[in-house]
Amino acid sequence: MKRPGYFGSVVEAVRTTAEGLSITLAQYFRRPTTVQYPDRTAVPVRESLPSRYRGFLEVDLATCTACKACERDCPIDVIRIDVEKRDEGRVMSRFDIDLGKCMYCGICVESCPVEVRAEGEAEPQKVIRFTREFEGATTAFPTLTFRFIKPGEAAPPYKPPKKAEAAELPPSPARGEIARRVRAEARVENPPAFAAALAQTLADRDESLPRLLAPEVLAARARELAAKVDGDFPSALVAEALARTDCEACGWPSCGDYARAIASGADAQTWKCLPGAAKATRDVALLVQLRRGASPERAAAAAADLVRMHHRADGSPKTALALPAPIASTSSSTGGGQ
Amino acid sequence: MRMRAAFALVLAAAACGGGDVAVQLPATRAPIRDARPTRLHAGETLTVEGRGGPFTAGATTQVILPGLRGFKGGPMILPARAVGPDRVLATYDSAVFRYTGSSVVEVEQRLPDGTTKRLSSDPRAPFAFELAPRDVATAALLAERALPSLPGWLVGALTLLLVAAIVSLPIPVLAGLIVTWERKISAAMQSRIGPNRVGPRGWLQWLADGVKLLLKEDVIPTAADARLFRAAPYLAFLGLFLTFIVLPFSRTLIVADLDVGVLFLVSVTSLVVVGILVGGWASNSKWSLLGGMRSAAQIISYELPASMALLTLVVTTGSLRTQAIVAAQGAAPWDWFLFRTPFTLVAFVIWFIAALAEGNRTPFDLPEAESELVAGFFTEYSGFRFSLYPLVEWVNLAVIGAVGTALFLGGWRVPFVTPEMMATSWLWDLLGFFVFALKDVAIIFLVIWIRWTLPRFRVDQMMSLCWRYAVPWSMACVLGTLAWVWLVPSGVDQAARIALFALVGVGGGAWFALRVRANARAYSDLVLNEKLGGGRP
Repeated sequence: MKRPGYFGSVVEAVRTTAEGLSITLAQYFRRPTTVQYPDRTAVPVRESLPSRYRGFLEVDLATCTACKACERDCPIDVIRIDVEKRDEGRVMSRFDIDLGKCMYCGICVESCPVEVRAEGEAEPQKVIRFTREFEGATTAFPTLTFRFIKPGEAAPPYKPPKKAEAAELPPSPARGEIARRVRAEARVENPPAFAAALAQTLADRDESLPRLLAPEVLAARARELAAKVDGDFPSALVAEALARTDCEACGWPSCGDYARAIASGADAQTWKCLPGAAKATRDVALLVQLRRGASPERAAAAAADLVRMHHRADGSPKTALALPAPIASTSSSTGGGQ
Repeated sequence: MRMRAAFALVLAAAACGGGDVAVQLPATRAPIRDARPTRLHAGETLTVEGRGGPFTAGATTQVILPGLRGFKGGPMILPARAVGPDRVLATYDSAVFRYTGSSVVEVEQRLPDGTTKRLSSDPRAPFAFELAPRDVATAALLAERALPSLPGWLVGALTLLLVAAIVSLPIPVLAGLIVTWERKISAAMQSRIGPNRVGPRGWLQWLADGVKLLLKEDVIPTAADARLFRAAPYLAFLGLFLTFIVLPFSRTLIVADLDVGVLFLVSVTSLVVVGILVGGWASNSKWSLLGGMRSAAQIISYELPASMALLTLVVTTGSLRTQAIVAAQGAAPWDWFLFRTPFTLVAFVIWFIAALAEGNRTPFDLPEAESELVAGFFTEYSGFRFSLYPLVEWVNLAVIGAVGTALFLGGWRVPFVTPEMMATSWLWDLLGFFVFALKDVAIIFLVIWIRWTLPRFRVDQMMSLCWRYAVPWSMACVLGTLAWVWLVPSGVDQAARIALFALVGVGGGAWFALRVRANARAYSDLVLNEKLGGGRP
C-alpha cells in the first residue's frame, strides 16, 4: 500500500478512526455473549450441556445387580463396593465412588451390564452412568466421596427379570437426581466422618515419648537398626530416619546433606529434625550410638536420654529452631486498578 | 442591548441641566443601597439611560458615575451615546464596582466645536440597583447581606468554605460513577456484562473499590522522597479541582465567572503535570520516573495546541469569560461554536485530541502504560494516595466534557429558550443544568468509547501528532478565525454555520450511523450462549 502523504494521512486517520468507532459502537449494542454463571442464568448450566457430557457418576441402586463389574474395571480404583452375606441374603453394604480420583474415562459405564430407561432420556442408560452435574468445587476433599449406601445401611441387589419378560427396560430416575442427592449428603456427612477417621489414625500412630521410649518398643527398634548397621554406616540409613521434607530447619539445605553431615560427624547435633519430631531424634541417636560400637541396650538408653532432653512428652521438640529467614520482601505497591 | 440588560440602571432626568434626576428601578427588584462590591456577569450589561437633556447627537458622550468606584478606585466613566435629544444610553459589561453613597450622575458631551457640555443630576435622589445571584461567589455577598449581625469576613469565609464543600464532595462520587460507567461500556463493547454484583446492577462497585483502597496499607518506599511522595497526589488533585471554579454548569451555577476564565482553565490544568512529575520522581523507581517524564513531555507539548484551539473561541467571542463564551453561542446546534466556522470545527477536534493527551487517556496513556511501565508514575503508590491519581484521571473526563460543552457545544443553553426567559425561574436554571450534564455525559461517553477503540500511540507518534499536525493546524485555526471574523459578512456567516452543521453534523452522522449498522449486521449471525440467556442483567 502506498504510504499517504501529509494531508492524506490526516484523511486516513479520520476515516479509520471513524470506522473503528463504528465497529465498537456496533458491538456496544449487541447482547453480551458472557453469562452470569452461576446464579443468574436463564436455565441451570447443566441443562445447557450436551447429553453425553461426562459429569459426576451416579448409580441407581434400585437396579444394581452388585456384579462389581465397574469396580473391577476401574483403572484407578475409584469405585469401592462391599457385598456381604447376611440372613436375608447377599446385600451391598458399601458403594462409594471417589470423584476426587475419577478421571471420567467411562470404562465403568461401558462395563455395566444392566440397561435402564431413565426418566426424560431417549437413549437407554446404564445403572452406573455419567450425569451433567459438574460443580464439584469444595474446600474439603472428603466431600468428593459419594456414598450411595450410607455406613450401616445395606441395599439388596437387583434381580433382573427373565429374558422373555423383559419387554421393557426397568425404569430409573432422571439422570442427575441421585447424584445431586448424594452430593448434598456427602457435603454434610463426609467431613465429620473423615475427621473422626483421621483422629483415629493419628491415635493409632501415637508418637508420644511414653510410646516411643517404651522399653520393649525401644529395644526392638535398637535391635532392628543394629542388624541394618552391621558395622557399616551409610548416610542413607540416617536419611531414612529423618522426615525427608527438605525443610532446612536443621540448617542444611536438604535432608540428604544433614544425613551426610551426621554420618561423617560434621554435625553432632543429631536432634535437629523438626518435622521428624521425637521419632527422628530417637532413630538417629540409635544409629549414632550403634555406629560407635555400643550394644543395642546401651544405644537404647543413650537415645532415650537424648530424646527426653530435647522433646516434650507429646514428642514435639523443646527448642524451636530458627527457621531460615523468609525471602526478604521489598516494599512496593500492590499495583491494582485499571 | 436592552434585551441583555438584566442589570439595569435607569435614570430618568427630568431636567438634566443641573436639575432633578430620579432613579427608576424595575418594580420587581429590591433596591440595594450599600457599599459592598458588586460585579457584572456574563451576558449582563450595566445600562445607564439618562433622560433629560438636551443632548447633542453625534457628540462624544460619556456618563460619569462619581458614586460608583471602579476597579482602580476612580469614578466609573462609561462611554455613551445620545440616542435622541432627550436620551443618552451608556452600556458597560465586565466590571466590579462599589457604591460610595453619592448618587450623582453626570453626562458629559464634547461638542464638535470643542466645547464641553456637562449635565449633572440631583445628588439627593437615591441611587439604587439590584443584585441577583449570578454565580456562587455572589452567594457570599448575598449571605453577608442576609446576616448583618455577623462580621462580614466570617460570613464570607464560611460561604466560600460551604461552596468548596459543595463542589468538592461530589467529586469522588462523580469519579466513582464514571469509573463504573466506563467499566460497563468497556464490557458492552467487548460483549461482556461488566460489574453487576455490588448494588443495583453493579452501580455501587465504585464504593466497594474505594473502601478497599482506603483499607489498604499505605506504603511509602524506603528510598522515596517521602515528603514529595506524599504531596504529589494532592498537587495533581488540586490542579484538577481548581478548574471547577470556572465551569459554567448553568446560568447561575458557576463558582466564579472570572474575567480570565479560559486563561485560568489552561493554567491550572498545568498543575496536574507538576503533581504527576513530582510523584514519578519522588517514587525513586524507574517505572515511575519514566512515566513522569513521558507525562511531562506529553502534557506540556499538548498544552500548546489545546490553548491555541481555545484561542479561536476567544477571538470569536472577544472575551475570556466562560459565561461570555456560552452566551456568544446559541441554543441550536448550528449556533454552537462547534459549527460556527470550519476553523472552530477543526479547533474542536484539535482541542479534544489535546484534552485526551493532557488527561493521559488512551490512545495517549503512555505515562501509565500498564504493559510497559506497570502503572507508570503511580506504580509505587498504594491505598488512599494511589486512589487519588485514578480519581483525578476520571474526574478529568468530566472536566473535559464540561469544558467542551461550555466552550464548543453551547453550554447550558436550552433550545427555544432565551437567556432572559431562563432568568425568570430557577426551574429553567435546573433544566439548563440538565442540558449541560447531558452534553457532558455525551462527551464522557465519546472519550471512553475512544479508549476502548484505539490502541496506544508510540512516543514518537504521539510527538509527531502534536508538533507536525496539532500545533500548525491550531495556529491555522486561529488565523483563519481571525480572518473569518474580520472578512465574512454576517449573511454568509449564518449560511456557513447551517451548511457546516448539515454537512458535518447531519451528513457525517448519517454516514456514521450507516457504518454502525453495517458493522452490527456483519456479526449478527454470531450468537453465543443463547440457551443460558446471555443478556444484560
